[in-house]
Amino acid sequence: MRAHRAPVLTGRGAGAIALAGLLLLAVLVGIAWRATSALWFLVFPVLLLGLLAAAGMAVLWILRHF
Amino acid sequence: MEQQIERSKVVVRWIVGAALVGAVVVLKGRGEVAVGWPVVIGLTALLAALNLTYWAILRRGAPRWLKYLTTATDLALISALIAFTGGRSSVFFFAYFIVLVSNSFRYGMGMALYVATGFNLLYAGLLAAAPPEGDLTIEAVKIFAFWGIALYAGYLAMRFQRQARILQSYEEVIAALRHEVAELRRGPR
Repeated sequence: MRAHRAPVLTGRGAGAIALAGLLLLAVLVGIAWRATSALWFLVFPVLLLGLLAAAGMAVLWILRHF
Repeated sequence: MEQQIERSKVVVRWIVGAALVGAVVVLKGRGEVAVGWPVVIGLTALLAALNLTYWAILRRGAPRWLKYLTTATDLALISALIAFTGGRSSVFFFAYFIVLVSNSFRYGMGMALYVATGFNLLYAGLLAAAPPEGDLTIEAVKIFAFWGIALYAGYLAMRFQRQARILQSYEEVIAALRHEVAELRRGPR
């Protein structure tokens, strides 16, 4: 008989990650729209990689990967 | 494997470098780019020195860090060329895509993300050093578009790599079956 395994990512965790991803997207759009200095673009890699990671985890949770 | 790839990149770097220098000379002759001869000669000499150094390193082998170094210097040289030939309106912006496609297809998604990050930081630095007048939204969209192409190139490279692995396993199976058939034909001993 297989032992019960705790889920790696709970529904609440996935929701929080998706919310964080949306927040990162809002920050990205805000910088792109309103930035007055190109130095703000230096944070794009962190924001974009965070957004991609969050979106990836949310989609995998929807597909019941975890 | 990496040694072979980097050697091939050295050859491509000579060809692309020669084409870019030729283009700069022609555009300078027509007065379409305002760049001094010291800059043209300096960048060309730097490119040649780096390429010869990489060639010398590759004669002994390919250290793991070499691909990251060659890619970073390629991006830095292109950024310098763009900075000296008009910044945001430079006609040499497309050269970033040569580095992106060439490296992503050879090394996969990890390298695509590395190139996109390097481009993002260098281009943002370039814009900050010579701030353009007016809205920066177009520049942000250019950066996003580059990220989009990098992700797509990385995804395609992942698919190609997976198919190459599958093909290799099929070839191994075929070789093993051929060996067994040859053994059977030889008959029992």
